[in-house]
Amino acid sequence: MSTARRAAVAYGVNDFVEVQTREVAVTGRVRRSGTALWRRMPDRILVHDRAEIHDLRGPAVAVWALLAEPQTLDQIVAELGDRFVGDRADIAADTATLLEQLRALGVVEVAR
Amino acid sequence: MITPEPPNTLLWLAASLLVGEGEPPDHCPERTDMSLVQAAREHRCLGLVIDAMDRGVLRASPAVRTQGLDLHAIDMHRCLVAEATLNDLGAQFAEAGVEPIVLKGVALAHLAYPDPAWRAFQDVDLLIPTEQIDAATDALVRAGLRRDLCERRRGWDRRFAKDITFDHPSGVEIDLHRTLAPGAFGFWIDEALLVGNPAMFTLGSQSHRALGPEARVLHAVYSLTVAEQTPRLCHALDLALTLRSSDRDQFLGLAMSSRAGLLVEEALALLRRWLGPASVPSGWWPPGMGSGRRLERLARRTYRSGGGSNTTTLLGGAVAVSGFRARAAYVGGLLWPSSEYRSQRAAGNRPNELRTGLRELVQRSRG
Repeated sequence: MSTARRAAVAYGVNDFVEVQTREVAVTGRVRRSGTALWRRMPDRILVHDRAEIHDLRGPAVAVWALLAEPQTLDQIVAELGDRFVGDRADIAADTATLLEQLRALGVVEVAR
Repeated sequence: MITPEPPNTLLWLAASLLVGEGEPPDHCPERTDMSLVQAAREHRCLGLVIDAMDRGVLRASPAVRTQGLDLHAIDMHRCLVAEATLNDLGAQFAEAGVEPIVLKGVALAHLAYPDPAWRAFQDVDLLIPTEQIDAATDALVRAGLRRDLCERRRGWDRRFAKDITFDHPSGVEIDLHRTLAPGAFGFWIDEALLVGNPAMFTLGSQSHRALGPEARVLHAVYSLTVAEQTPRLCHALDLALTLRSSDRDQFLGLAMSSRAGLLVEEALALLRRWLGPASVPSGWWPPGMGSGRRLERLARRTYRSGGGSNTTTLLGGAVAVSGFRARAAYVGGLLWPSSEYRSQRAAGNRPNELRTGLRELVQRSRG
């Protein structure tokens, strides 16, 4: 299973595009893109990327909430590590992949 | 399709949004079933039920909860597509010099509700200043949108149409409104007061204009009385939530100059019946303001209730058109639309307007 797919499964993200992942996928601080349209539901977040709608579930909901403010990968991983059970290295890898996917969709941007 | 009255549990949830929760009343079922989910969906406020389930205020089986969440996701999916469609149209309107005002669900979900997921909607409704109607329709045609019916007669859109409907490739219906209600009450609206003092809201990073709070209250009044086939609970909530942030005296001025006092009284009575007396702040509407003049009472009788066509409503609109020539043009356009318009209606299997109107008139005179 590719890293991207593993992250998608771990985060309960449906119909995600496969993206090229890098060793350090996202650097700097990232946040939700100002252009993203989305709705919060009790069990998921619906995000419109200008082409289609994606369904974020599980820990991805928590990541989306954190991205209301600019965050580094380390900050997100620290927060998730407090909330979810799992190996910290796996959480970091999955989160990096998720952020890269969200950035590829244009719904997350690097904060200036 | 006629929407049945909202069930008591849904009314209690909606009232709780306004005045805070007390103990669930006796009529609240031990467990929520799909009938409540379906009713909430028809009244465009399933988000309220989902939120109540999530907080444990309403108890539901896992199956009902899952189905409810999935139906809510479908509704919210459609809302997001509608919002994205509106954002896409922004550039076309700007290029044509058109300044639309976003109406109804799209604007209200973001301006009136604590969470936009609590107000579902399906279409994009835009109020277009009268002098920009032709430019707006041209812009949408140039953008490749399909108009559902051609103009009734040349010049009709700008002078007399209530709204013009376009189908967007995204599947979202775009309604360009010249006014907020069909028939006489639509003609009586004071456009200058209505569009003055607009509000702003953003979808993603794009800013949009909406009606100011007092005009939004008036629009909710029309929705609860004369603009929709049957009132939905979301329209009552729109009214209750918006009037709390509006200026009473400014609203009185707008309502009275639009000859809508009769409708305001009717809408507030429905609001009190559905959501309780606390839904209308005391003293908000002076008693006796809504009795209306004879012409307004007569016009009110031309509106359908619970079905039928809107032919009598449209004919009744003649009483509100100023000037003999304009009135003659209006009635002439109603009775003798262009052949292209008639053939498009026939091709779309829409009922013959004259026949339906005559049948309604006969039924009403007997009733």
